[in-house]
Amino acid sequence: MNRILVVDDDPVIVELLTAFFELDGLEISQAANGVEAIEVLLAESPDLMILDLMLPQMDGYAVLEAMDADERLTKIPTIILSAKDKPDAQIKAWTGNVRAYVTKPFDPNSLVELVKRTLESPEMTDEAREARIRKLRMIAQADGGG
Amino acid sequence: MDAADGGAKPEEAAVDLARGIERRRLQLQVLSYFIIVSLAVMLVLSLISLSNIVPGLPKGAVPDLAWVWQTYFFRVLFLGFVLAVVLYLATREREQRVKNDALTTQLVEARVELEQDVNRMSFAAELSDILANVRDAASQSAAVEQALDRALTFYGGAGGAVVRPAPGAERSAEAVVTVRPGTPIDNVTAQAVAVKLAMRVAQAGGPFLFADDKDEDAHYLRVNGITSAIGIPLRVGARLHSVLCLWTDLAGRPFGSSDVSAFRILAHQLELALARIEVLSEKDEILRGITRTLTMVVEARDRTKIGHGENVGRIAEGLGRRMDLEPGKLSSLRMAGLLHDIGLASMPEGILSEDVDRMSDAHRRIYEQHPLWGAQTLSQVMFPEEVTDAVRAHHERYDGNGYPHRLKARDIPLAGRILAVADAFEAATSDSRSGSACSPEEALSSLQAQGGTAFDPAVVRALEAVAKESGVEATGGQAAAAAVK
Repeated sequence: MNRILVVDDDPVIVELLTAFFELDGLEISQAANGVEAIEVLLAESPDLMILDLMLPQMDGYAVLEAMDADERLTKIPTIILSAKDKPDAQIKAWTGNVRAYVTKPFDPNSLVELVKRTLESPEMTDEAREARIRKLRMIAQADGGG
Repeated sequence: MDAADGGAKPEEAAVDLARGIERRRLQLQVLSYFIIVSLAVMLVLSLISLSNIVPGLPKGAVPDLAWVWQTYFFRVLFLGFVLAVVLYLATREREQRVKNDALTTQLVEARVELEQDVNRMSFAAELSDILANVRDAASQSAAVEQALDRALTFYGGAGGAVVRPAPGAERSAEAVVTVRPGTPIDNVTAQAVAVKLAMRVAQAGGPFLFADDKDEDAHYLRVNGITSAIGIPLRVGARLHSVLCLWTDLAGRPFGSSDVSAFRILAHQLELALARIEVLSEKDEILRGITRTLTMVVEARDRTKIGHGENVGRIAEGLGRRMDLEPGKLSSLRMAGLLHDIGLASMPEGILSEDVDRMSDAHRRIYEQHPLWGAQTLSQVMFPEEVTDAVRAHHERYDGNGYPHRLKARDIPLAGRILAVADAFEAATSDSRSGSACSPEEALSSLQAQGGTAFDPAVVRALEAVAKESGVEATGGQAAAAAVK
């Protein structure tokens, strides 16, 4: 059975996702800040993480950085779930662990489907990630005017 | 006008003048009658005296009145009388002239006042013109800055500034300064001057005119080459929105108290415009909220499309900006991008989960209705017409083989052509049911290959420009020609 770690400081979102994931037979761990997230990651090594970016104590970017630096954590696929919808904020988040970026508000069913797809094929080539970042740069360029 | 007795109105002054002239005419008439009568009396008297000397005329034929003239009493009396009348008239004449001069001055002042009124009114008219146009500019600060610019041109001020309370910080302010070329006041001084003015306006709670030499701040202005300055507060509701400042240097006419009333009119008009813009931006905010919610509905139906609408909106707006569309159209493009697939929300689940390329004809006919349904859904809310038009046309092809109306080239609304390119690019570079994402380079090449057939070449060129600026170059080859459908 797959274990998902949900990291968000908003209890409503954590509850909602827990309910949806459990319905689909997934096991859920929770963390409300970056420090807790790292602890759970190291203790339980979940199959996938849903990560909010704006977190108390240690924000999502710092969590991603820490994961990049620790080889025990580099294999855990991560889906970002954030209210930060600017392309620049997204580019900054696209580190080695990240597989998808979902902006709030979001549709929980879509997220569940995305999680399932990601669990089926958790690998992402560097090439694909680079392409994703270049696309975001283009969107940022379009967005920023010129 | 205030200087001339008791603030008489120009028309009253004119009536006074006319009355004065009439009075003088009457006096001149009386004088001339008097002179004629005197001359007649003297003539009669001399004739009588003469006739007495004429030889052959019997004595007593003419009454001998010469003795009357010959009496010293009568002579002195007569001369004294004439002298008195002449003196009286001379005094009256002088009084009248003084009065006349006063009236003329009054009239000239009245004319100046009238001219100023006309100026003020023509400025007010020009201003309402500006403010009417500002409605579309959407931003309050743009409205204030434009008004400042026109006011500077109109009043010949040396410079001006819009001072706003700094967001989130009490007792501090930021000034946007406009300095007209050729004045001795540099930008840094202008900043300081503007903030000083704004502080005084805030203290006074109303328009403030710097003219008093003894004032400490006025002295500061003088030292910096400013001869006069006006600050006017602008309020929206109960909130102080900003303070409008204008100043003159030695080259210009200093502002006076009559200018303050002119600027009051300006401020009042501006406040109305600002309030209107605020209402409009609230409406915009509501629309954005509705848009976000509806986008979520679309993505809930087609779960492979997470973030698709958001990205299409950004790209479409960026393309529009590069094609020099006006700001109002850009925000419509953004909304249209977010909502273009809203018609899919009413699509039967069976059709929605099918691959578009492998649909039966019956299903395809239904699927191809989604742009129409989308436009219809959106027309229920207060979206601008450009949004619904763009949504309706986002699957039209440049060569006329698109749907739902098979429109061709320029018959397709521009927003629709832009949306088609943004949609195709975003879809190709995202994972979907039919396959995984292709790179932006591949997608761009494919779109280029279809410029003139599926897509408007001008819009594709705008996408190329965006790509190039962000370091993405088309691969050129045929490798990904089929990536974009």
